[in-house]
Formats: sequence, C-alpha cells, structure tokens
Amino acid sequence: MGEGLQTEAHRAFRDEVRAFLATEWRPEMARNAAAVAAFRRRAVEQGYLYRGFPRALGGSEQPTDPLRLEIIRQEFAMARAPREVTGLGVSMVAPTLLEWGTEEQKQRFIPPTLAGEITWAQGYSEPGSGSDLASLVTKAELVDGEWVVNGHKIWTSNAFRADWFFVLARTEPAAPKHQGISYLLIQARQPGIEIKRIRQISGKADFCEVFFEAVRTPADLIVGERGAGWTVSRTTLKHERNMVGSAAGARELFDRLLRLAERRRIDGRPALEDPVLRQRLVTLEGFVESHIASNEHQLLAGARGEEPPLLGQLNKITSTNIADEVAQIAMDLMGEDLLRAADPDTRSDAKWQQQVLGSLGLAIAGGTSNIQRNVIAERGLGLPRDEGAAQ
Amino acid sequence: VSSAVDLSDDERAFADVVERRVRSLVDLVKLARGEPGAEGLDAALVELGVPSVALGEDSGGSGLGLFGLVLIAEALGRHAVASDVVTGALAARLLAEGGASGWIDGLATGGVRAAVALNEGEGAWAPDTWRLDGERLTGAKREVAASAPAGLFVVGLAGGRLGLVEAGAGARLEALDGMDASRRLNVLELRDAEYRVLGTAPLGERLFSALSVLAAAEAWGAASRALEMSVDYAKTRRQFGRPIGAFQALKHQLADMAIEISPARFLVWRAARAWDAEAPETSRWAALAKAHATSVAVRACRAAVRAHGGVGYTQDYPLHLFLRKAMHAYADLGAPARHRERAAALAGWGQG
Repeated sequence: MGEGLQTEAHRAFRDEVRAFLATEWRPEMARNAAAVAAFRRRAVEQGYLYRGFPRALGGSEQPTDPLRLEIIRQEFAMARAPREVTGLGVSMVAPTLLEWGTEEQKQRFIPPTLAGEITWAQGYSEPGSGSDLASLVTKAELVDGEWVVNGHKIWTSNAFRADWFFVLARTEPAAPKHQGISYLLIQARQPGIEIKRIRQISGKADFCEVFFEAVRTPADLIVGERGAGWTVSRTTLKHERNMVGSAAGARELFDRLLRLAERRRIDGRPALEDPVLRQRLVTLEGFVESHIASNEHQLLAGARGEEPPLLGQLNKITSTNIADEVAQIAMDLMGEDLLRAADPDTRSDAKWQQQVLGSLGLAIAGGTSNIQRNVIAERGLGLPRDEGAAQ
Repeated sequence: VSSAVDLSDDERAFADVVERRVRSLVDLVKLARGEPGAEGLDAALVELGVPSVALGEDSGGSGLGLFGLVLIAEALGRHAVASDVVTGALAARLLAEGGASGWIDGLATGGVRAAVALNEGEGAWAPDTWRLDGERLTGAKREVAASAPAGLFVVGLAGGRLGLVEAGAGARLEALDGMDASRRLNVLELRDAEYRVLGTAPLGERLFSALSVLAAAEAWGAASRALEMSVDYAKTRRQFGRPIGAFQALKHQLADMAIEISPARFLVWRAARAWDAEAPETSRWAALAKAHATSVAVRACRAAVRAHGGVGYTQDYPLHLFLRKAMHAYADLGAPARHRERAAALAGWGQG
C-alpha cells in the first residue's frame, strides 16, 4: 500500500532511483566489499544515502522528505541493493558527534563511520546499572593528559568486532549522579580491555561483557563537556529508540510474516484462507500501518520544526509490541517446525525460532518496555515523577 | 490533493476554528444527565461552512474533502456530540460525484438535511450485502441516524448502487432509542417509494468507505478525550497521600492507552487522504482504519472507566459519553471483524 498516494514529483523520483539501480547495481556485487563501497559512494553522490549529513562529512545533505526516503527504501530493498551501513556507528555515534562533537572529532570519525570503515560498540549498561543507568560506577580519571578508565560494562552488542567504544564513565564522583558522567571514545583493541561473549536464548552471542583495567584514551576524546555525558547520551539514546522503533522495520517484519503465511497450510488448506489467521493478521496490520503513519507524521512535523508531543516516545514500545505479536502468530504458523532445534544457518521455516525468541530481546535493548512506559507516563503525559528514580 | 499524513496551514486553521466553536457550545455535564447540552450545534456548523466542506472549489465548496470532514468528526467525538450536518456534507459530495446537481445547492447550504440508509439487518451494512431493488422501493433500512426530519435519503441498493429517495408518503422514519444519546436512530420504512439511481457507476463503495473513515475519526476523538480525562484525573485525585498518577501501575495503564490510541489517528488520516485522492486502495485503507481505530477506541474508553474508579461508573460524570460514542462507532457500519475480513479479501489473501 502507499504507492498510489504520491505526487508527480515523487513518481519521477521513483523512476530516477530505479534507473540508477538498474545501471549501477547487480546483485552479484554484494559479495565484493570494494564494489559495495564504490556503489555506496555513487548512491551518496546521487543523494540517496546519509541524507541528513553534510557533504563534507560523507553525507548527501538533502532536505527532509519522508516520502523520498520511503521510495529509496522500497526501491533499494526490491533491487537487494545495500543501503546505509547498519550498526550503532551510523545510527547513534555519528548523529551524536554531529550535534555535540568538536570539529576535529567530526572530521576524524564521521566519514569513516558512514563508509563502514570503523565500527562502534556501546559501553553504557553495567552489572549494577541497567534501567537505573545513571547509577553507573565505571570510573575515568584524567592522568597526564589521558583518561584512565576502570570498570565493567555489560550487554555491549558486538564488542568483539568493534574498533571503537563509546562509553559512559563517572568522571565527577562528587557531583549528583546525573551530572557526574562523561561520554568518552575509547579504542577497542588495546591492553587492559577484556571481552567475554554472552550466549542469548536465541542461540546468538552478539552481546558481550567488557572489562576495562587502566585503559587509556586521549583527553580530547570526550564528547561534550565534563559531566555532560548524561545529556549527550540522551541524544544517542533517542537515536537508538528511533532505530529500534523504525516503522519501516515493522513493515518489513510484517511482510515476512505474510510470506510465511503464504507458504504454510492449516488443516490441508493455504493458511491465508483461515478466517482466524486473517483476523489476526489484519488486526496486527492496523497497528503496523498506524505506526508507519505516525512515523511519517513525525518526520513531516520535524521538517516543519515541530516535535509532536508524546508520539516520539511511543515508537520503540510500538515496534516491540508489533514484533511480539508477529512472534505469536509465527508460532502458530510454524506448527511442528516449532519443535525442532534450528541451527542459525537453517533455510527452513524453523529459522523463525530466531525471531520468536529474539523478539524478547527487543523488549529489553535500548530501554525495557516498562521503562518506556515510565517515560511515556512522566514525560509524555506529565504524570508525577517517581521521586526515588529522580535521585 | 495532498497525500501527507499531516495538516496544511488551511486545514490546521479550520480544525482550530471547529474545535473552539464546538467546545464553546457543549455542556458535558448536561449531556451526561441526558439533558440537552449542545443546542445550536447544527446551526454553528452550517455557519462555519461545514455543509460544503467536502465539495470541490469548482462546485462552490472549500475543497477540504473527506479530510475536512474527518477533522470535524474528531472534534465532535472529542466533545461527545454528533451532527446530521456532516452526513449532509458527505451526501453533497457523493451527489456531485454522481452528477446529480438537483439537490446539491440545498445540501451545500444546509437547507436540506440528508440521511444515509444502509443496513438491511443481520449485519448487512456493506455494499455487497444490499438487496433492496425494484421499479419502486419497498423494504426497511435499520439504524438510520437522523436527529431531525431529513428531506433526502441516500439508500444502498443491490449491486452496490445508491438510490436517492425524497422524504414523503413512501419513505418515513420511525425513531428508535439509541445507546449513544448524541444521535437519534430510526428505521426507514419504504413503501413503493420512487427513487433514482445516483451516478452511472455504483457509488456505494465510495459512500461506505467515507462513512467508515468518519466513524473511525469520531471514535478516535472520543478516545483521545477519555485518555485526557483519565490523565487529568490521575494528576488531581489523591489517595494514600499522593496523586494516584504517581503509582506505577496506573502510569503503565495510562501509557498503554496512549500507545494504542495516539498513532491510530494517522492511520485514519491516511485513509481519508486515500479517499480524497481516489487511490486504488481506498476501500482497504478505510476498512483497516475503521476496524483498528474503533477497536482501540473502545478498549481505551473502557480502560478510562477503570482508571477513574467509582466516579467513572456514574451517570453524572461525562466519561460514559465517550465510551458510548466509541461503542457506537464500533458497531455502526458493521463490527471490526467484518471490516478486517473485507481488508483481507481486498488484499487478495488466500486467492493463490
């Protein structure tokens, strides 16, 4: 749905994107990293990727236009062409540096991050500081022009592949808990850093524990002022929530579920003829399309310089709720395939086990659903703050 | 025609004027007690130009389309009222689409009132279920909303067509008691009624989609107000020495209401934009919006009563008005399950 609602200019833009992909992209290029990188550079030149970043930093500096963005997403997906590099570098670090970084930090880190040449991992949570993140105790002290970091981080996704960490550490131990934290950039491969992988219920092991023992990073790799790390990280977390809350992702997940339903049979008939399944799918689609329409409204309002109250805070939990319902419907569609252990590389429908179990991780990463509800109630609806949590 | 899930400056200005005017006319406490509490509403809407809102500028209208009527329906829902003037405005638009110029002037000035008669009983609301037909029309249409005598009936006919019937000896309304007090329901009795078919192509689907979108918008307006009242109550009502809104259990209930209700508005807007653009998926968007918005609205309004405790369960407190409005929108034009099945069929699911 959606293609029927575009203006002439958008139809022309879609043709232009299609023509670009037809001449510049062939699926076999996906196996060649240099070819992928060259393709991304041409896509940036055309204004299709990194639209919110300045040209000088490797972006394409385009005006906000959610419909154009959606057209790019659809056409690139259809051609199976690579879009922006995925991961926390592009979604969180680069936007945060754009807002808070020094000119030097921007020049040094944003272009290679957008190009996928350096990857990032997030050092926020600690064993004793999960939902109550501001209670974190990892310490950084300035010694001879360098930060010396000691502490223990956990739930750090993909730490074992990262080149750099962005870390919240306590630099002002005497200040109130929110004002004593700084945002530091730390090279990942250096003495004093130990990484242990954590196996998850989905069978994957992309979360890690990271131990810092007298790890050093230069004094100028602090983002924002000393003690301003909490505020700086809020921008980053907002970007993460937007990413986890991406409505396009919810639509892609729903479409995958529809394709699963097309393949499966219930009582010897195609599953999509089953009246109960049809009801559940349309019920879910109502939430998916509301989420997409709300995101589109937020983008359009943002382009006008307005931030509609409340809506942004709903994105993450809405995506989580959708993934949860997708998992429940998928379980019913999988039938006996749900009973078999699925190795991560399986091509059978047993691979849906990954989504079924992985959807639970979505309810935790980037702020648990109950924390999201607190934020919605207190900041969105204006209900009284929990006095204990504000300390 | 804009396709954006957003308000243009004109639309925002129009929505603000309607909201202020409706708010100034409505006395919720009187309405809650079953007393007249929205006198002058129809006249005010006529004065604001609502009857011609959905007509194109070339037909003397303001060109705001169904989207304009959606903004009005949201405001009416938010203030627990309804108006035949909106029905008349939609009828004017359908008559213009069908090339029936005769009645349009009367409808567009608010001088003529129209009512829409679709349901033939047992859930026969949708165009593919209408059976009424013949040289002249004899039969009954149920749950016809009309608070004042209508001059013109837009009637669903076999084949998804629409017929125009003038009020008179062959076409009369019998009032029923309605659950949602903001509208009077009637049975339309047709005996050898003369009629003429509207348009050359069947327009039933256009009308049914538009009404579905308006029901969704009204339910959304009602539910958003119920949420607002619940939040205000949670901030002011004190128990155990603090506002009840400081308790996490209630915070989470209110957050869950917002999570379901707030985004649904934009699905309704999307459906209205599709209708105005005459997009090929209009019927599917309308079915999806009607099923979704009325379902989440009823759920939110029921949650609002629970969030209020005892006072929400009393007649004098206006909360039940919004619950009733959401329930009306839920059952009007067929329950959500019917609309979901329509959406599934329109997507071609299960047909190879």
